Amino acid sequence: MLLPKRFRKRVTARISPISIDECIPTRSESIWQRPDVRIAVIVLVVITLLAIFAPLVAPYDPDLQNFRNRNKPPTLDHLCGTDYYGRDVLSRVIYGARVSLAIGFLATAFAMLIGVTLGVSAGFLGGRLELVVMRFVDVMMAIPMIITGLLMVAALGSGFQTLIVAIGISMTPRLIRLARAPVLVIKQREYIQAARALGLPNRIIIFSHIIPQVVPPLIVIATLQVCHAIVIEASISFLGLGIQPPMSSWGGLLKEGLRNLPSAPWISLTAGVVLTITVIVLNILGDALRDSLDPRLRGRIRAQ
Amino acid sequence: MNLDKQVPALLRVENLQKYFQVRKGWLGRKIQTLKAVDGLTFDLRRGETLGLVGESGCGKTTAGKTILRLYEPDGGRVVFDGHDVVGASEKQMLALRRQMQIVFQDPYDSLNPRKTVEQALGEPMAYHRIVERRRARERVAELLSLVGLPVACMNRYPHEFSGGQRQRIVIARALCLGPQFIVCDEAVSSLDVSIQAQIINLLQDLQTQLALTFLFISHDLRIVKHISDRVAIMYLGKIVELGRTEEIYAHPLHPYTQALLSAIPVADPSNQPERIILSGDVPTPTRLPKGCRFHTRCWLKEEICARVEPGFDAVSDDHYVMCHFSRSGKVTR
Amino acid sequence: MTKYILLRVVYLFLTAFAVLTIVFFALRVLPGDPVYAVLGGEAPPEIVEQTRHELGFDRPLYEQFAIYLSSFIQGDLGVSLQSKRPVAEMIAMMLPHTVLLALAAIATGLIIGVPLGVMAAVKRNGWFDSLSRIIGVSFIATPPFFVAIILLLVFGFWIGAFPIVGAGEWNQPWDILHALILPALALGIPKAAHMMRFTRSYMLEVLNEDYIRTARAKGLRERVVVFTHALKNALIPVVTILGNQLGQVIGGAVLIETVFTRPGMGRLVVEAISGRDFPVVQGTIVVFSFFVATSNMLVDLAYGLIDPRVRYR
Repeated sequence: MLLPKRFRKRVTARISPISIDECIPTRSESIWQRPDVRIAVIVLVVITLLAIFAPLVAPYDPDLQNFRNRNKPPTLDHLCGTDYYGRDVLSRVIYGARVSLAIGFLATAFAMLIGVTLGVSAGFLGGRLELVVMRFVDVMMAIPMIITGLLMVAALGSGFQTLIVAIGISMTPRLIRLARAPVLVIKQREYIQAARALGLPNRIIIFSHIIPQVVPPLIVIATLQVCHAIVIEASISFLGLGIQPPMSSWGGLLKEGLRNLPSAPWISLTAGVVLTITVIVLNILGDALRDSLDPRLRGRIRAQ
Repeated sequence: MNLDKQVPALLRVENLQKYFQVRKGWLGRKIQTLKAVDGLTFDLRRGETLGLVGESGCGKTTAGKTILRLYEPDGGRVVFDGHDVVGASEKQMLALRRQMQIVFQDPYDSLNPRKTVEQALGEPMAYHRIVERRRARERVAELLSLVGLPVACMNRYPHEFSGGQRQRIVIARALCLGPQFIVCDEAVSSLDVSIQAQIINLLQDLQTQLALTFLFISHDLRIVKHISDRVAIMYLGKIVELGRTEEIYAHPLHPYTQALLSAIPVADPSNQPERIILSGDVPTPTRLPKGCRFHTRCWLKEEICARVEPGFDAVSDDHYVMCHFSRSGKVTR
Repeated sequence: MTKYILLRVVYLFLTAFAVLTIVFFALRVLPGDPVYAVLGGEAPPEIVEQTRHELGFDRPLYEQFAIYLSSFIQGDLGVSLQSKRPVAEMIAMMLPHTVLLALAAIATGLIIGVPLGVMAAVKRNGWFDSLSRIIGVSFIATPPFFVAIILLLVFGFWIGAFPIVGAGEWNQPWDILHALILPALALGIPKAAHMMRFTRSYMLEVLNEDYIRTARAKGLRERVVVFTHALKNALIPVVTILGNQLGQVIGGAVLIETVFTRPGMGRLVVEAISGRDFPVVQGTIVVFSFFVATSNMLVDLAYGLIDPRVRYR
C-alpha cells in the first residue's frame, strides 16, 4: 500500500540511523544562507579587525589628553566626542575592543581547558571523582557568575591576565556540565567497550575516542559563552574592579561615562552600543551554530 | 572438531557472580542488588563453540562481558589457559586481552564513527606493538581479506558500510590481536536473515582457519543449534542445563529448556510439537525466588522446589541439569 | 511529596553550607590580607600583628572556621571590618531592596514577554513575528546595565520623570515604587526578550499538538483554544526557566544597583569585595546562593503543582 506522501517522508526520517556521534555541524551550508548570520559574521569580522589593527585605524592616540577639548560632543574631528580628559572616545572604544575581545576569547578558552578536563574525566571515570566534581559544580552554580568573578578578581588582583583567569574560573562550572553530558552518552557506546576489550588504557580511550567527539560541538557552544565572558569582563570593569584606567576597556568607559552621564552621554552610549552589538552578533552566531548541531545533542545542551 | 572430554579446558568459569547496585529513591539511598550473573559455572574446550542461550534479561550478555572483565566480577573464578583472569594485574590483563576478544551485537554502535577502518584496526595493533609500524597497513589488509572485505575499504568510515559489512569490520578488529577465544555477544541478532547466514559462515570458516574458540551468546535457538557444539541454557543469572547440542535439542531435561525449545517453529506445521506456554512472569532479578529460581513458572513444581535450590548434576556424561526431577523421569515428555 | 520537600530543604541548607565553606576558605587561601585592608598599607608591623590577633586571623584556619560557623548558626554573621556594624544587620537592611528589585524585574519580564510570545506564535511568520524576533535577538543579549544607563539618561536626566539616585524610604511606598520602575525595567526588558522567545517556541510546539486540533475541530473559538488550551500547557516549561532566571536577575542586580546608586545586596557585596571585608563577603554570598537555590527549589515544586504528570518519589 502506498502511504500518503507526507507520511512516507516521516517514516524514512525515523528509520534513517542518526548517530549522536555525528554531532559536528552537519548543516553548515544552510547556516550561511541565513541573512542574520551573514550580517553577524561581517560585523564580527569588522570588530575583530578594528581591534587587531587598532593603532592603524584609531584616529587618535587613546591616551592623548587635551584639556581644551574636554567632554566635547561628537564633531567631525571627534566622531564620538571626547571624554573628561579630552581623549577621543572613538579611539578609546577601538582600543577597548582589544581588551574585551581578547579577554572574552581567552577566558572562554581557559574555562574550556579546565571544564573539558574536569568534565570529561568526571563523566568518563565516574565514581568518587565524579561525585565530588559535580557536587562542587552544583554549589558553584548557586553563586551568580558575576559574584564569583568579582571574588576571584578581588583575590587575584585586577589586571589583564588575572581577569582572564578570574572570568575563566567563574565560567568553568557551566562548561564542566556541558562537557560531561555528552561523555555520559558516548561512554555507553559499544565501541568504547570494544576499545577496553582490546586492552586500550583510559588515556588512549579518552584522547582518541572521547575528546575528538566531545570537543568539536563544545567549541560551537563556546561561542555562546564568549559573549557571557565579554559581558562579565565589562561588568567587572564597570564596577571598577577590572581593567584599571588609563587602560581603556568598554566596561571602564561605561563607568567613566556614567560619572559624566548628564554632561557627556556619548561616552557611555558609544561604549555601550559597541558592546551590545558585539554581544548580539556573538549570540546570533552561537544560536545558529547550535541549531546546526545534531538535534539529539541540541536538546541536551540547550537544557543546561 | 575434537569434543573429547580429555581436551583441556581453554576457559574455566567457576561460580562467577556479577551484581549491580540499583539505586532507588531520592538521593539514591535505597540500594537493591540486581543479581545479573549469580553463580555461573562452565568449561570451554579448545576449539569448540559453546552456545549460551536465554531470554533477554537473563544475564547472558553480562556474563560474556564479566568473563572478559569488561565488568569487574563480584565473585568466582575465571581461568583462561591456566591464567587467573579475575585476579590478573593490569599488565597480565593486557596480555590476556590479546587472547580474548568480543564481537558486540550492534554493528552501528560498536564502531567509532570518526575512525576509518584502518584507524579502528591499527590503533590496538599499534598499542600492543603487534606489527612494525610500516607493516601495519599490510596487516590491516590481511585482516580485511580474512573477513571477506575488499582491501580498498581501508580508508572508509563506518557510515559508508552496511550492517553486515560493519559486522565484518568488527570481527576483523576482534581478530587483530590474534586471539584464541572470542565472545560473540548476539553477534548476528541485529542483522537480516540472509546476512546472518553469511556472518555465521564467516565465523565458522574463521574458527577452522584460526583454531578459534567461541562463546556464542544468543537468544536465537536455531542459530545456536547450527553453530554450537554444546549449549548452555541460562535462566536468571544461572545455567540450568548444559550439554551437547544434539542431546539438548533431542532430549531436553530441564522444564525451562523444554519450554524454550517448544517455541521453535518447525518447517512442517503439522509436525510442530505441543507448545509449552509458561505461566507467570519472569521474577525481577533484584528479588530472586527462594529455592529453585524457576519454580514460580514451572509446571512440575512441588513443595521441595520452593525450599531447596537443586544442584547442578550430571545426568549423563557431559549433560548437566539443575532440577530436582532430572533423574526421576517425570520431566521427559 | 512531603518527604520530597523535606529532602529538598535539607539539600538547600547543605548547598548554603557548602557555599559558605568554599567562600570562607577561598577568601583565606587566596592572596590578599584583610588586615591591611582595615589599616591601610602603611601601618607599623606591631599594630598589624595586634589587629590580626584581635580579628582572630592569626588562628589556624579550621579554628577560625569553627568559631565562625558556631556563631553563624546562632544568626551572628560577624562584624564588618570596615564599618564595624553587624553583618546580619547590614544584610537585613539591604536584602529587601534587592528582593523587591529582583521580583519586580521577573514580573516585568513575564508581563511583557509572555503576551508578546503568545502573539508572535499565533501570528507565526507574520510581520509581528519578524519584528518580535529582531527585538528579541537585540535585547536578549543586551547587558542590563547598559539598558539601565539608557533609561537613566532618557527618563532620569533628560525627561526627569524618575529619580536618578536611591531607592526611597520604606515609609513612603510611593517613593519606593517610583524609584523601582526604571531599575525593574532595566533588568526586566532583557528577561522579557528571553521569555518571549521561550513562550513563542513552546506555544508553537503546543499549537501543533493533536489536542489543539481537536479543540479547533470541536468548533471552539480561537481565543479559547489559544488561551485555555495552548497557553496553559506552554507555560509549564516557561515556569521551569524562571528559577534559572531569578539567579541571573540577582546577579544583574549587582550592576543595576550601582547604576542607580540604589542600596542593596549588590552594592554591599561589591564594596565588601573591593575592601576585603571578609565577614560581609561571606554573609552576602551565602544569602545570594541561598536565594538562588531556594528559587530553583520552589520552581521545581511549582512544576509539580502545574503539571499533573510530574510525580515525585
